[in-house]
Amino acid sequence: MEGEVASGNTFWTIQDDHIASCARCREGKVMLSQNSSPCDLMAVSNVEQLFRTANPATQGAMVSMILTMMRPMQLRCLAAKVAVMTRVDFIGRLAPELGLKVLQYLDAKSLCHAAQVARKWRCLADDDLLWHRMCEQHIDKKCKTCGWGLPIIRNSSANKRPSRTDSLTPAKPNVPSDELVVGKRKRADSDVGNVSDASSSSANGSSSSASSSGSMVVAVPVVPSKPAPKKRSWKSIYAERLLVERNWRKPKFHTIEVPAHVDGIMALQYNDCKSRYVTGGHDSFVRVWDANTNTCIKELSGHTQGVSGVQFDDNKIVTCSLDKTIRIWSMATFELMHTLHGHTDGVMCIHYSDKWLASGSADSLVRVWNLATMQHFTLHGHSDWVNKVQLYKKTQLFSCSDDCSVILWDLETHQQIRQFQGHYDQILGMSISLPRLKNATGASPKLVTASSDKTIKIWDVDTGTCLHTLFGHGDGVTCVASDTLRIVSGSQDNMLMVWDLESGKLMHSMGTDKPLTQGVINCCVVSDTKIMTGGDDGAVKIYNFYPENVYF
Amino acid sequence: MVKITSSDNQEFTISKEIANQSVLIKNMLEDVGESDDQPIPLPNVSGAILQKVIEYATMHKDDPPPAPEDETKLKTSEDIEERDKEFMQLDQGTMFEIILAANYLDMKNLLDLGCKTVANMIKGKSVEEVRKLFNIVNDFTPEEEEQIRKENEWCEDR
Repeated sequence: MEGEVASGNTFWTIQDDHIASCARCREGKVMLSQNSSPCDLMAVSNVEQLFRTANPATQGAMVSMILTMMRPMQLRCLAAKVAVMTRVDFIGRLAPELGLKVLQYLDAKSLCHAAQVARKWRCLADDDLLWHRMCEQHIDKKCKTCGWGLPIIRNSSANKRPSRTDSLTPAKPNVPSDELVVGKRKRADSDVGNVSDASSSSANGSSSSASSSGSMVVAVPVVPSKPAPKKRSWKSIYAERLLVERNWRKPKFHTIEVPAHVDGIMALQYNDCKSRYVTGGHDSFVRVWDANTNTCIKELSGHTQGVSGVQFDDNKIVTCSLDKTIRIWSMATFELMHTLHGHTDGVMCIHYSDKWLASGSADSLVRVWNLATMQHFTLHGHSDWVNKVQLYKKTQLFSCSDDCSVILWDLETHQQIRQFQGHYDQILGMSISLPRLKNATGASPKLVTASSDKTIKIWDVDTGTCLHTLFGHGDGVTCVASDTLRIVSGSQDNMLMVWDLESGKLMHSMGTDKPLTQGVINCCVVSDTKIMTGGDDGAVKIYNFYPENVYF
Repeated sequence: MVKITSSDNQEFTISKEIANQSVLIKNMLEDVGESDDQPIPLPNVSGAILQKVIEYATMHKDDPPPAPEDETKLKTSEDIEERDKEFMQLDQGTMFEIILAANYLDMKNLLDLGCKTVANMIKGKSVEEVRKLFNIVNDFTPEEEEQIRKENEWCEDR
């Protein structure tokens, strides 16, 4: 205070121009105001010369002496200058590997901000390794820090994003490639019988590359020296997945309705990678659809009653019907290859994996066919209609029935391993969720069942205990589908509901809006970006969560 | 006891358990053997910084040795001990020098602490706040800046 009075200034604060001058100081240019006399300039120059030529000890002494002579306002000004001058651009100045060591602790949003700070920052903050780790932490499982889990998304080209033939698997060691994940899913994780995602293990995404790589093909002649399509960055993969997940949470989606059958749809299977789906209707037809255009590729006729189950892969389509038969069709020629007889009443469901084809029937039996020899054996245990069957771990099989039970069978001994008891009405739908990646939370596989008792139950497959009972539907639940993150259910109350798999919490209920009601929902499929349902009105409804018109 | 000298020729005498927290010094000691009481020169670290590093090592002399790097482990900067937080309440210049020293001396825990501290300074800040915090000049052209802003727009709404 005294100093301020002594200096003759009435009221003194650190002026902006003092701070601004710091920038100049930093550049090594000491500026004097314009009206400085030559004498002043000389004095400053002399001091500069003296200081420059002094040894460090003397320099220290000179600074100390000047400090003691400075007025308080000058000191404050100096303090402000020093504060700015001693700031350090850590990311710009540290060796890149140390900069990355800092950035590895950032969340996605902070990393994106860091990338916008300056050139050097951008270079490091967009580093593929960092984003690869970010992807690893979030995709297909819940991150322990932020609680977000992101979808895998198998076939991005289906969403019309060009030059992405490699979209899912930039070559990196120790990353579970999508091919591998899809392979796993094929085994057991997919939904029951008619709605499963039985993708073949052939290079995933490649089948769709031809149709989607248009822009790259055009680019090649212009820049002939450029190598084949660039790998997509992990950052853009993360961004894509985050946007999809955000849409799931909002929920934000666009819908398409495809009139598919003249009568109700009983069965539906969709394959993300192949951009195909197959429907089975009460009208006894099976139809194969192109998922990009939603046009019917082929109609398969032969069944004489309603088609209750469908499943397909690259080579074949398997269907079952209330006409008591199971039919196997060629995917290439769409010709009927086999008709399997055996059940004495309508066949309600089928599921195949590797060499086994299982079927459940209104005759309350489960039959398991060897696809190589076409011989079969029968599993006795249910006392009423068998509504869904699902092969599991190569040698096991789940079956759910109108008798309110789920049975897990050992296919080698033909014995029951476990029963899942708890529903008090018919069990109409069933789905299995496998934890796919190491370190995934809730690591044990889960069984999800849908019942006429209006509830959905989540079970621990290994112990048979019921983990959650989900209430929400106002009428019988007809179908469920699940992936590693969520459960989708359809009901006789015309509603479609989305649940969190881990907590069992209801996330959204859909179908209350006028355009989305479709009567009773008979079957549903969930993929990373879509829900598809088939209902009594004969239409396939597609809820697409993939963001439209985004830039990343 | 072990003697070490800084770049500005300050000599420090420290106990072996403290010295061993630096893998660099530990290896040197193993190489030269016990008998040698020549001070170990550390030409990349100034006395002032070495002082702080020794302060840290003394504080952590009873810690178990750091676990080997686990790449699959979740990286979090939220797990800093209270005493370490206090220790890191330094001006940015000193913090910078400490990170360099920890890297040079091969002291994993201190290096991690430094990096986490800087990360926490960046976290949750806007682009402009980060520039201001570290006194960074925006070296993008307006066109580039707009392009990059667009590129990163997806992160904003959550």
